[in-house]
Amino acid sequence: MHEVGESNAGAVLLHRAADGDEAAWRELVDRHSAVVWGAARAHSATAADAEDVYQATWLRLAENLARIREPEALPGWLVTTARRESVRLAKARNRESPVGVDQAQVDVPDPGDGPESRALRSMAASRLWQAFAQLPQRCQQLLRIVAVAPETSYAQVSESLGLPRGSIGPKRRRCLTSLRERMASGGLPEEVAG
Amino acid sequence: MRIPSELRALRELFLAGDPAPSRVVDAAYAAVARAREWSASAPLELVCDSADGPVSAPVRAGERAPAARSLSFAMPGRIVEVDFVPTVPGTLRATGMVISRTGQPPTGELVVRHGTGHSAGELDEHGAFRVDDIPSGPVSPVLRTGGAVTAAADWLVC
Repeated sequence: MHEVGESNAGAVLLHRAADGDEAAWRELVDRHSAVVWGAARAHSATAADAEDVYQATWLRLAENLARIREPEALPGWLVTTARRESVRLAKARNRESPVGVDQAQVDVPDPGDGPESRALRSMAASRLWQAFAQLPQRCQQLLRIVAVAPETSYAQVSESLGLPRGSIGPKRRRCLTSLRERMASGGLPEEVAG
Repeated sequence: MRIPSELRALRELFLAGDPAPSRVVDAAYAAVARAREWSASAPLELVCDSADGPVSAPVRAGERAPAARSLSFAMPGRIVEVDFVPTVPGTLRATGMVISRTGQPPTGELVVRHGTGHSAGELDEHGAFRVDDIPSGPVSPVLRTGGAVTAAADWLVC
């Protein structure tokens, strides 16, 4: 029931946005901003390229709203569009397409509790990032997408990353295992290591 | 499906430590209003992109600047060829030609929509155009005849 309700709400939002309701459009952006940004960052060479790809993806959606018939297909459409544009841009600029967050940007905000807890969280975030950064590029791309867009189906992830559909589940497991191993070897505090 | 704790932690890390910058989120909010301004009667369909060709060797510091991004678009009865060439850093020039399949020279202007507005160049008697001072980033060529938008292309990044 929950999924049907969500799907109906998504369909209503899409229809309202397509009919020119700016509040509905803003809500669509708010709901899916992290997905588009995550896909753009996962596949762009630089943060500046990711910003351009993010903007182009929303501009494209604004002009193609009427063509999205299934609201549940929207996250996949956004991820695929952002990835394709990132890859094309990287090729056009004769660059490789590395992944990642600039180290300087991984600065998790103050959670608002005591200094010991803050220090632990900061250390945990740093170790998590270090473990993530050591993963192969394909693993980073896959984990970034499934982390920021957990509602995206394996079929959509498969299409957006250009990987065979049947490989997504096993690859996700291998990448997570590899992340856990790297975190364990880095001595990550238990509350983050889970 | 249960979300593993590592994925939840990664999600928090990305959302808190690397969110989309507010300026691009604001641009995303404005996208739907821009789309209404430029509703076209026909799509300008991308049929060829030099970026889809073979990847050449990476450009090293001190070497010649990257070549033009060459794009071909099609609409009923017409082909639009556009080359985007980097001029000064962060700025592009678009040159190209609108070719009419009837052989009759097309009239009007080629508009390039970009992240902060749009720039336009009149078609000459052969259908050629030149549009200067385009900010690099998201762009979308539009063919405008008789003051009305005839065809608009999907957005891409140059």
